[in-house]
Amino acid sequence: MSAKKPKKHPPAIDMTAMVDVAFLLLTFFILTTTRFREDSKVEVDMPSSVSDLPVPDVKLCIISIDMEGRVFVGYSDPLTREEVLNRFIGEKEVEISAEGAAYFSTLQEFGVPHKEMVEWLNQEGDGLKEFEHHGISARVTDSTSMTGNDLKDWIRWGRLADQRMRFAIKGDASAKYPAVSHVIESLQDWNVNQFSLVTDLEEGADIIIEGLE
Amino acid sequence: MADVDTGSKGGGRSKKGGPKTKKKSTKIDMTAMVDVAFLLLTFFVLTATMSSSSVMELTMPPKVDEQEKDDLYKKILEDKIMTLVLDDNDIVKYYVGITEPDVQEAYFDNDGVRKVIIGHLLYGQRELGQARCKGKNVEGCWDPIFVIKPRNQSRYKNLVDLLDELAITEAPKYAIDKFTAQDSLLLTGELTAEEP
Repeated sequence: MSAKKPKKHPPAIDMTAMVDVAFLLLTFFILTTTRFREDSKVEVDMPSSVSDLPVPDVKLCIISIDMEGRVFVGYSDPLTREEVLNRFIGEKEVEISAEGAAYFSTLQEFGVPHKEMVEWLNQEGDGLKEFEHHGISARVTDSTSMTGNDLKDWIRWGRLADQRMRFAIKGDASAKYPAVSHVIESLQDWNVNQFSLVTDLEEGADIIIEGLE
Repeated sequence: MADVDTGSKGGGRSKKGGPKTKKKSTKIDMTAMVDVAFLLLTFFVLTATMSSSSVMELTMPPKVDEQEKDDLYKKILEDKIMTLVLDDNDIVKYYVGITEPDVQEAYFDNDGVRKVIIGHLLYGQRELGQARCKGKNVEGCWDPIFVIKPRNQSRYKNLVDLLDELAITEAPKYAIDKFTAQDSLLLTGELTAEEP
């Protein structure tokens, strides 16, 4: 005689603890997320340094240089982006669609030379996103001429948008020096002699140097 | 419209006299809640920018023309100036002074550039018996100057590394300058200017 089979229960797991953990982590990440990752146009592998100064929490203009030496410009503040684009439109006397302008103010950085700007920002829909960024020309041709160096215009417009704008250079570790030199010279042409270099924090940089107090 | 449930109709079964309802378990099925929580969690983990980027402050001397710069260099005691040329393949070529200096090489390793910099920082104390300068415009003290001259083949990483070394060793004065034709003559024996 077989024993009476026990009534089968569906396997139930107590999920309370799991929910607790999940929400704890969720809360942590919500609180620590300061800024969402924005649509990025350039990949930069930053060199590391022992400097542990945080990125300044002011309106910032970051000039990125990628591996191939292409230059990209980005403004940290969306309102500045709008204002800078308006200055571009005003000075170059061009027309840009509302869609393009709205898209521009969402961009973390861009690398389109002046002569391609109108074509780029008058694209529609996915055309805006897929447009190729060739990099902004930063070569210093002649410090008195306004042509040939688009970067200098972006620096000037950034400065006009906010007098206290800080400038930072975010270069790729393997970028060759001339590209960096062009950017520094462009900044110095507007008497921006103080700027920041964005780097990755190097861990374990406790260094003891003998002979130096 | 807008009826108010007085509670006299349905739901009164559990009141006195009515048939007793079977007590339901207070356990709630949390599976869906866990699903939502982890979905949100994944979203925030992926969007969080957990980058630990920091900045390095750099102050460049204001632009002056070449003649002014030459005059400026002549005013400074030659021995104070150490020129560090960033070359190809992560090599640093360095020399002290301006007139017929002795060019040497160093690498970015533990015993390389840092030792060179420290050596120059301590040179005044060891050889000249001058203490390091504290504060501005003090006569007879040692305030070495480092001039970084990156060549066109050098990588940006080398520049940052070198600036880093100077910051670590607390070098008081350093600047980035152009690699000129004269530097080229000194290093390679050919008088060719490098246009960046």
